[in-house]
Amino acid sequence: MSELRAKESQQKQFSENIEKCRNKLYRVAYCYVKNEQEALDIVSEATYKGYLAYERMNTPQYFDSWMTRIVINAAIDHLGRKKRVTYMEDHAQDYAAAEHAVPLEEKLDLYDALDRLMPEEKTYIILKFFEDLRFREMADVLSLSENTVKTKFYRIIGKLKTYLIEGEVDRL
Amino acid sequence: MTGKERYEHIEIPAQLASVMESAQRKAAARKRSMRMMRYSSVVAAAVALLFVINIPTVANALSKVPVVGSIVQVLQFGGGGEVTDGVTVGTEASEDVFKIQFDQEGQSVSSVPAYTVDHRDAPNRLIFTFNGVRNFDYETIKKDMLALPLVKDVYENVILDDSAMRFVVELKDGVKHTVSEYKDPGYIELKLTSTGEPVTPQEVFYIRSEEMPQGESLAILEEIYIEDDVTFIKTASSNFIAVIGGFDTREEAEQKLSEISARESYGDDLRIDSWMSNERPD
Repeated sequence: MSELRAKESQQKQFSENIEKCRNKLYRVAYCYVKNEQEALDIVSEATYKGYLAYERMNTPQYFDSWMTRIVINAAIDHLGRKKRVTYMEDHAQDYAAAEHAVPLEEKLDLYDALDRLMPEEKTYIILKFFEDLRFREMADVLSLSENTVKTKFYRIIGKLKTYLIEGEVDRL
Repeated sequence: MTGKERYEHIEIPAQLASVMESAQRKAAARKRSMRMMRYSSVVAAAVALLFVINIPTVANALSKVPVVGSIVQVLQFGGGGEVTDGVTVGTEASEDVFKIQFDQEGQSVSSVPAYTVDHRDAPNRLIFTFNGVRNFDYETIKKDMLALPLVKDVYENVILDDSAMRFVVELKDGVKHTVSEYKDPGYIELKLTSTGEPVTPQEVFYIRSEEMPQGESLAILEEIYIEDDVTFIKTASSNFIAVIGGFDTREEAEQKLSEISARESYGDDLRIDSWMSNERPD
C-alpha cells in the first residue's frame, strides 16, 4: 500500500511541476516548428515521456531543466521525422515559399534566424537569448560540459553572422 | 519587436493544459500495463524454474557437474531467478567462462535475481535482462566481458524501469554459448565456445528506426513496439537503432512493416533496411 501511495504522490508531484512550466515548454517547442498543432504534439509527446521516466529522476529540484531537455529532444525528433515525410511528399517548396512571404526586416531578428538553423542549433539560441540561461545552466539542460556548450554556441553565432549582416546578432 | 519579445508573445493555446493532461493519462495507463507485464514475467520465470528443477533426471544429471553451488538450469535462451531488490554484482572471468555473481548487503545471494537471456543473430548477440538490481554495476560487467576473446562488444540498452538492467553481448561470428544458473550461492555462468568453422555472411532484412544515441528515445520505441519483439543494436557509427526482425527476404519485412504502419498510433518512424549478418548497420 505504501508503494502505491508513493507512486500516487510522485504522479501528483509530476503534474504539479509540469503545470508550473507548461507555458515555457510550449514556447520552446513552438520555436522549433512555429506551428501550433505541431508544438502541441511535441509537448504532448514530451509530457508522456517525462511522466514515464519521472520515477527515475534523481534531482527533482531540476525538474524544469530536465523537462526542457525532453521537450528539446522531442522537437528535434519531430523535425527529423517531418523532414523525411516532407521530402517524400515533396511539400518542401510550398513550405519555403510561405516562410519567405514575411517582410525582409522581420527576418533580421533571432526569432526569424531560427529558421535558418538546424534543429540542434536552434536549441542554443532559444536557451541563451529567449530563456536567458547562463552557459552553466545550458550545460545542465543539454547534459554537456560548459566548454562544449560555449564552443557550439559561438560556432552557431558565427554561422548566423554570415546570414545576418545587420541585426541583433552583430551587437553581441 | 525583438526576437526575445516575439518569443515572449508566443500565444499559448487554450487547449495546452488539456493536451498535457491527456498525455499524462495515456502515460499512466501505459505504466499500469508495464507493471502488469513485469509481474506476469516474474510469475512465468518462477513457474519455468519450478518446472526445470522438478524433473528428477535433469536435476540428478546436473547436480553431478563439479561446481561450487548447485546448478538450477542450463539454457540457450529463457529466464529464471527470483524476485529480489538491491543486489549488487561482481564478476569472475577466465578465457571462455564468465561468471556474474550477486551480493545483497555484503552477502552472496542464494538465488540469482529474476533474469532473461535472449539470443539473436545478425549480429550474433545475447541480450541479458535483470530485474530487481538497482545497484547493478554494469561498468564492471562491461569491462570484464570485453576482455573475453570471443566477445566483440558489450553495450547497455536503456529501459524505462529503474530496477531493471539490460545489456547486449555481441559475440564473434560462429561463437556458441551456454548460460547456466546456479544457487547457493546464486550466480550465472556464461560459457562461450568457438566452432572454428568459417561462417558465411548472409543478407538480413530488418525494420529499423533512425539511428540515435543511447537514451530515452530508444526506450520509448521499445514501449511502442514491445509486441513486435523490438531489439536494439549498435550501428557502425556507435549510435543505436531499434530493429524488428530479422527477415530472410525484403518481402517478409515489407509485410510486417505494412502491418505496423496500418496501426492508428504509428508514427512513421520505421523503414526497411538490410545488412550482412557479420556487419553493423549504418
